[in-house]
Order: sequence, then C-alpha cells, then structure tokens
Amino acid sequence: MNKNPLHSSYQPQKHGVYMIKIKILFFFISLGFALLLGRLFFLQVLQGNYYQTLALNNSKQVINISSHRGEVYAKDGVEKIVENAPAYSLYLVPNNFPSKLRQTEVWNTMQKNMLERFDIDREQMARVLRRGRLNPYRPYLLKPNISQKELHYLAENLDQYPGLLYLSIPLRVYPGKEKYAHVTGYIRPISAREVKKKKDLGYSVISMVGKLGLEAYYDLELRGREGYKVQIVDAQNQMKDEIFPEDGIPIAGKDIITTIDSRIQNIVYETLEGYPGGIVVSHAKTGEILALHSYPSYDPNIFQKKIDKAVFAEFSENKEKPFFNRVTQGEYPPSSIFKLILAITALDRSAIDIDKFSVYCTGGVQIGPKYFKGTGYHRTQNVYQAIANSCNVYFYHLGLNLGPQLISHYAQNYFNLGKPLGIDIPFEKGGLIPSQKWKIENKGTFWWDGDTANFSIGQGFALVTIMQIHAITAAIANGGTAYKPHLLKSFISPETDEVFEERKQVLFELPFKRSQIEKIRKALSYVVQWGTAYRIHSNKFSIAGKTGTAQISSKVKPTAWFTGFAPYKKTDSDDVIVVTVLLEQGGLGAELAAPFAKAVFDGIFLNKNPRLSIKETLQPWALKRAIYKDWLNRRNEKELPEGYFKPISAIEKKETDG
Amino acid sequence: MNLLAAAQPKKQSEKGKGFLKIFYTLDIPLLLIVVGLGTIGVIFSYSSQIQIFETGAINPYNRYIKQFFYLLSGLILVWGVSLIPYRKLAEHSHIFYIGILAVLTFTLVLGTVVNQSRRWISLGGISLQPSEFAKIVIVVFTANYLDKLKHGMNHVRSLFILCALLAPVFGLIVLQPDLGTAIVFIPVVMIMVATVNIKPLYILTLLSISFLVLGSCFLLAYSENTAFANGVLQGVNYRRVLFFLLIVSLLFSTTLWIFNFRLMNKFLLRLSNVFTVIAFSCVLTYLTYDVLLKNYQKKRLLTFFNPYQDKWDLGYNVIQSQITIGSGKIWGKGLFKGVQSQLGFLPSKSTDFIFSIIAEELGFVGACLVILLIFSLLFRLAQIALRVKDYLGGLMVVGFLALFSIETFVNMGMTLGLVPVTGLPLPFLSSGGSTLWSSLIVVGIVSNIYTRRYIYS
Repeated sequence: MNKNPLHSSYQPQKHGVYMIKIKILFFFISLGFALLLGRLFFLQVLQGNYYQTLALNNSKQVINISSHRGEVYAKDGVEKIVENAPAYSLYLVPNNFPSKLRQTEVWNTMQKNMLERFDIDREQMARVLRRGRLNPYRPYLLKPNISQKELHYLAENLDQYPGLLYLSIPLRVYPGKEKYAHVTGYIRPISAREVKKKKDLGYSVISMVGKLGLEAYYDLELRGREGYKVQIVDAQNQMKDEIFPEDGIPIAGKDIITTIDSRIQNIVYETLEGYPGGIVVSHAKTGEILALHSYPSYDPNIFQKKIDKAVFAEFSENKEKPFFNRVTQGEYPPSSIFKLILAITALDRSAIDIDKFSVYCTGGVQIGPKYFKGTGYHRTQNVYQAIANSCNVYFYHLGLNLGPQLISHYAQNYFNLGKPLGIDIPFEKGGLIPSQKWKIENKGTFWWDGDTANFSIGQGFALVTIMQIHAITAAIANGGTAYKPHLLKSFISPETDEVFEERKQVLFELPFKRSQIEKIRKALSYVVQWGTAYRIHSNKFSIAGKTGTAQISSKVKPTAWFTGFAPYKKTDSDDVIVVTVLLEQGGLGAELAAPFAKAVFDGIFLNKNPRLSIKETLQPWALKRAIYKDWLNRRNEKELPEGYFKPISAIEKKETDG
Repeated sequence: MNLLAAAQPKKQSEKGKGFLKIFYTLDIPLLLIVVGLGTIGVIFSYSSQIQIFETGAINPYNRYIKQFFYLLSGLILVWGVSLIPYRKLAEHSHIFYIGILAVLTFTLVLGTVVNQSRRWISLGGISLQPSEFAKIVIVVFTANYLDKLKHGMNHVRSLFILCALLAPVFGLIVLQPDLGTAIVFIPVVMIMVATVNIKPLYILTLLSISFLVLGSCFLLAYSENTAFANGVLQGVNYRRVLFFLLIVSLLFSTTLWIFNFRLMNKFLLRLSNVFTVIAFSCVLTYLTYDVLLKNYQKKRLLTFFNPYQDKWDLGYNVIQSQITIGSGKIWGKGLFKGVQSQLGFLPSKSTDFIFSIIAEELGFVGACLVILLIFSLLFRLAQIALRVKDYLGGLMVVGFLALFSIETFVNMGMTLGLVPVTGLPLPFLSSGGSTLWSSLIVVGIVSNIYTRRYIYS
C-alpha cells in the first residue's frame, strides 16, 4: 500500500481536510502580509515626515565655529590686560570612540593609556561619555589647553586613539593675574542651562561666556558672532561634504580699550595687597576709572587651565570671598562720610545759616532715653570744624534740624544713593537709604529721633557702595558734576578699524551753587590739614578728603573709610584724581584708610613705593599698636623689582606745591 | 526507467517540439516571479554598494556582480533540479540527510569564522553556507517521513521519532551558532506535521507549547533585565514563578494520573495532560533560555520592546532600519539615491536589511510592489500545493511555502520593527550565493513537483 503511489489514500484532493488546512495556512500567511503592509503604511505614509527629519539629523551635523574674542587693553592702548594665546584643546567624539560593550580588553588598555598620557580625570571621561549618548557626533571637551608635548604625541599617534581630536581654541590669558581680576572678570565654557536661556543672543554649546567684570558686561561686543558650518557625515563620522552658509561666517569681536591706567592699578594693587577691602581711583573731570581693585582677588587664569569643581569650590567657599567685588558689590554704612551729604543739604536748603550755625560739643547728646556719644569733646564747632573733626554732635543737631525725610530725599534724588550707578561692571549693588516709611515696612517700628541721629552720622540703616561715595567725592572735587564712572574708553572693531568712543555721561549735579562748593572743598582740605586725617598731610601736594569709621557690630573692628582727592588747589584741572579706600575691619578711618589713600597719591604723584609710604605714615605711632603690626605682618615683605613703576607722568611735574 | 521521458507530462508534451522539450519541467509563472525578484535583488545589491559622493569608484568584483552570477547559475540550477523526479529525491532523502550532517560537522570543525560564528565553508573562492541547504534537506526528509506513515500522525511516538531524527541537524546549526536559521525549522516542521492526518488536539498541544515557551522566554528576558521596574508585576522574579509553576503542574499531573487508575475519568485525564504540557513547557523554557540563548540574544529580545533603551548598540539596527524605511515616504527617494544606506547608517544593508533600502529608494509604492511579488510567489506555491495530487509532493510544497513565508515575514518584520532582530535572509532578494541557490533549488523542486503531478497521481 505504501509503495503504490496511485493508491486513493494518497490523493490529497480526496481529503477535504488537507485542502482546508492549506487554505487556513494561506489565510494566516495573508494575515501576516497584511500586518507587514499595515506597518509599512504607518512608517512611510503616516510617520514619513517624522522619520525624514530623523534621517536628516543622522547625517547633517552643524559645527559651530568660534569667533575671535576681543582683547582688552589698558588706557594707553598698548598694554594688554586680557589677551588670546594660541592653544589646543583635547576633544572626544563619543561616536568614534570604541564602544565599551563590544571590545572590553582593547577598550580597557586604550582607555588606560589615554588617561595616563593626557592626564585625564577618569570621572571627566565617564561624564563626557555619558553626555555623549545624546549627541555622539559632536566633539566634547576632554581637556582644555594641552601641553606642547601632548600635542606632538597626539598628532603622531592619532590613529591609536580613535575618537580623539584636537582643536585650536585660543586660550584667554590674563597676564595681570589677580591684579585686574575684578576689572576684567573671567570667561568659562557656557553651561547647558545658559545655552537654553541665551540661545536668542547667539550663544551655542561651544561658546565661552563672560562671568563677572568687563568680560560679562561687554560679552556680546567681545565675542562678536559665532559662525557655523554644516557637514554631511556618514555613519563612520567621515565627512562627505561641507557647506558654509552665508550667515555662518564668524565675525570677530571688538577689542576694548579700558580707562584703567596700568601704573596706577599697580600702585593700588600693591597698596591693598594683604588686606580685605577696596580701592578705586578715577578722574574727577570725566568719571574714567583709573584703577579699581578689591582684595582678596583671584587668578582668572585658573579657570582656563582645568575645569575642576574643587578649584572653583575653593574660591566660592572661601570666607574672604575673592569673587566679591567690594567696590561695586560691597554695601557698607557710609559713616562719617555721610556728614558731607548732610552739610550739602543744609547749604542748599538754607535751612540754617551754615556759616553761623555752630554747636557746642560736649562729647555727646541725650536724645530721649538714649545717650548718643560723639567722637570727642570738641567745644564750639562750625561746619568746617565739624567736618574736619568729624564731630558727631554737630551733625546730630543738624540732622534733627533738617529731619530724616529731607535727608533721605536728598540722598536718593541728588546723590544717587540707594540705587546702582550704572557702572559697566555687572551685579552692581545700590545700597540702601532708609526713610520713615521704609522703617515701618521693614522693621515694623516707627522712626524716632534716635534714628535720625544715627542716620545723620551715617550709621544705622543706611548702606552705600564704595563706588557711590567715590562718585560724590568726584563731584565735589570737580565743582559739582558727578560723571558716571566707567571702565570703557573705546571699542576697536578689528575688521573696520572703527573706534567707538565712550562719552562721559553726567550722572547728577550737586544741588547747590558753584560758590558754595568751595566751602565743602575747604572743609575737606581742613580734614587733612589739621582734622582727623592730619597724619597724611603732605608738603608735596595738597590732599582733601574725609575719613569714616563704620561701626558694624561690637564684636568686629569697624570698617575704615577714606575718600579724597588731590591736588586740592586745582579746582578745574583735568588732573584732579579721586581716591576712595575702604578697609574691612580696618579700625579708625583716619588711622589706616587715610594712609592707604596717601600711599596711592604718593604713588601717583611722586612715584613712591606705596608700602614705603604707608610705613612712613604709620611709623611714628601706629606701628607700635598690635593691630597694625598684625596686618603689616600679613603682607609678604618682598622687595619690589626695579622699574616696577613707570616714570613719573606729567602730573607730577606740574604739581609740586604743598 | 528513462528519467527524461518519465518527466514529460502528457498534456505539455503535445505543445512543444524539439529542443524546447527540455524546459518542460519548468513552471513558467513561478520562474517569472523568481527572475523578477532575483533581478531586484541584484539591482539593490548594487545600490547598497554606492557610497555617496564617490560614485564611479565601484570595485568590479563587487557584490552585485557576484550576485548576478549567482542568479544566472542559480537559474541553470533550477532547470537542472527540475529534471530530477522528486520521488527519487524523497526516496534518497536519507542520503542527503547524512550528507548534510557530514557537511555541517565539517563546517563546525573547519569552517570560516565570521562574526564569531562558524557558518561558512570555502570551496575554491566561493564560500557556502551549509545551513541554507539544510533547510531543503529537512523539508524533503520530513515530507518523506510523514509520507511513509501509514495512518498519518496519530501516534505521539512518531512525532518523537521525527524530533529525534531532526535534532542532530538542529543541534549542529545551533552550535555554529546560527539560532535564527535553526529556530525556523520548528514552525516549518510543525506546519508540515499539521498538514498530514493528525488529531486536532496534537496541533493544539504543539501550538500551546510553542507559545508558552516563546512567551516565557520574553518574560524571563524582561524580568531579568528590569525586574518589572514598572507596571503591575513590580519586583516579580519570573524565574521563580516559572519554577513554582513547574513544581505545581508536575504535582497536579502526577496526582491526577494516579487517581485516574481508579476513576478512569476522561476529563481528569485531559486535565492531567494539560498540566503535563505546562510542566514540559517550563522545562523547555529553561532549556531555551539558559542553554540556547546567549546574553546578546536575550538583550535583543528586550531591545525589541524598547530599541531606544540601547540606542547605540543593540537597538541601533532596529532604529536605523525604521528611519530608513520611514524616510522613503510614499514615492521614495529614487533609485540609487538612498541617503541612509549610502552614508552607511543602515547596517548589513545588502543582506538582512535589503528590504529597508528598497523601501527607502522606491517608497511605499515600490515596497508594496515587492511585497506583492513575494506574495504572488507564495500564492503560486499554495496553488501548486492544492493542485498536487499526492501527499509527498503536497507536503514538500507546504514545507517550502512555510519556509518562504516565515523567512519573509521574519525578515521584513525585523526591518519594520515587528519582530526581534534575527539573521534570517529575505528569499531571492538578500545578497549571498547560498541563500539564492537554496531558494532557487526549492523553485526547481517545486516546479518539478508541479509538472509531474499527473505522473504520480
């Protein structure tokens, strides 16, 4: 039966079941094909556009081209404060880097070699690879600024390290290190969060973004416009074609010439070194800032060499706050310097006959339940004497006469206190001028006469910045006009060589007649001639100024202020230079801040070593006192190199009287 | 017996004259479809070689020229095979079977290693993939075995014997390792077994076992990789569940079976059998998952569910293939203009993922036409299976039909993201001599069966 092929049981057609089974089988096959067709329809017709963009993203690669970042010059337009140096950075394209899953042994040895050769942090590597999963075709920064030796090695052995890449990324160099840090700020690679926020301004993932200082304030001008090119790449990341769109050509940033005078900045830097505080020097006539320094400072170069969180933390968690620009951001009680504002207000309002108004100082005043101490037992004081001696009692009376409303009105509206000046350094603070309303809203209690008394001598709630006091002093020095302090002298566009001059801007006019300013100026000169700051009296040139001692709390030493200008006798001269000094926990303003200012003036006019000047001023009396010994020991006593200061400028030749 | 004379069907011998007589054993519609598919395969193996912006730099000994010669020689092979009466083939299937066993063993020992697996043997410049030819042998051998059974597959014993006979080939291919090819045998043989006289309960049992094993493997892979990180079965270890299931079902089946001695209850017997099937599936799952599947294969199962989980390694093929197909849209990017394939984003583009290039360059319309062409091939095979007048031929055609349809479905489903990635080729389209030749040999056998249907009826 088996062998006979014609047997009926072998004829499939006679078995309906066989036919049905094949039909069922074919039905299922058709079902499968319908499924395939349905999926094909879904992918190609319904989702076609989506997958088309995915395919484009596969092969299209936008490469950003960084633009030349503008350099920053000192006032003379020759010395560079910030410059670009040629440098190479190490990058990794994660897509070309062998996958960890596939080649374990090879991968391990290669990675080990690589990490050792280029001294790459293992965590940094892991971070780059983790981030690289999102966009594996873009180069990720592994190590900025590789050494010449590493560069040569990599160039020769590039084939051994697939995925590694070196790109020429100019290094930002700050030759002055700590000296200009608070002027220039620093730059860092932009963070992912910032890119999202600033995309409209043209920032991209490879952008460097200015932090603090001029780098931040003029970031848009300095960076120019970044360019880009489009590359068509294959799966091996081999470039197949390159497109340079017209709007993708990078535009170089503008160079900046600052108003900083490097000689004066040197002096200021040397003067302040070792003591927390701030010094600012400017031209009274224009508002150009010649020098600005805040101690402690930081070296902006460290952010260029290595992206290290530990280094950054070391700075940002430092108790002395090196990033904190005390000149523009520090808010301090104005202390005795506020007395000038009171005096000017009184002069302007003619509320009292200022020439005849005098107070008998008994060393203090009883106001209500509280006894307000003065600075000494001065007996009869007129306005000159009161300013020169910094007599509190005189100003308690004057303040109570004028009333707090008037004082805060004048301070806010005529002296620009309580709001930022608009200097070209970011994050400027505005300080605080209290009023009766302010006290009720913020402290919950009513203003009483004791507050007025405190307010009159600059204690209590009022807070100002060094820059604000500096602007007021400059206005007094030049005869009544306050110019907006600024660091920018001009822009130089490297492509067109155009120079954009920054004009001086009037910030406010002191509210009184020209003749009356002489009274204030005279009072300020008395301060130095025989007043609180008599120790800095100089025979070579005439200084006028005002000391201040801001009590912050009973536990810490007071903050020392001095603001002044020289030469006093040249009213309308272009050469009048204003110096403001603040020393945190510096003790009495007259004892420490004033010698600092003297040292700066000495340096400017006589080209004298500021340390020597301070020592000379302090020598007879202060060095014996423990606190000054203490801070003098804090500085390193290295000798300054020869020719550290430039030759004495024309100012000194003209100005020799005293 | 004069083979040639016996090969002439009565009806057709009257139509032709002279020299053309020797081609009477060919089935023209089948041949036309196959030539069409083969040509498309050659065209797209050329397309897959193009690299963008470097046209004109194509190596003359390139894949598409090889493919063209494979097609030509394969067509001669079709004719040659169609001359051999299929009954002779079936009668000598045990020789072929032993032969293929020997070749597979030889491959395993001395084969060429490509991608960490020994699948190839080199014969004077041509490398052959014996597992491709093993498919034909398996189908012919199984058809012969089933044909010899007197009363169909009504005894479980015959099924086990068949399994035992096929196990060596299966094992040798698994050892290469080429799990994809080996796994295809199971549904093909199951479909062939289902075609003969068999109790529906057996089919049901086989189906339920295979589904249980398949599902459990997926669940195991899923649970071991994510431990059901989200969803209802949070924190469930499926391995333990499986073990519990095995113990419980074993207990139930044995107790029920022992009880049944006395009760002789048919329902209880069935119930006992159900538990036996479950226990058997559990054991099979363990074997498949722990012995057969390698780590990367387990991961592939997972990436099938979520290719974006491992976007740059295992999921890459799947994602890029779907991007390639989807970006073709309705009308395609034009012949030889497929950006995805030419820029190298699509992996193994000339073999496993050739359908993706077709869909990219010809679009939905072209891909539909290609699918239609393959479907018409399968339709013709089904038609032949219905027209054949003896079981042996019918079984062989059904086996080949199942083979082609599974290969096509799995390959296309893989490119479309419907099926996990397996290395199965697309019949007639994927580049490669062995694949094309084995498919064309199948065409030869089928047309031989069709044209001889009256002789053995």
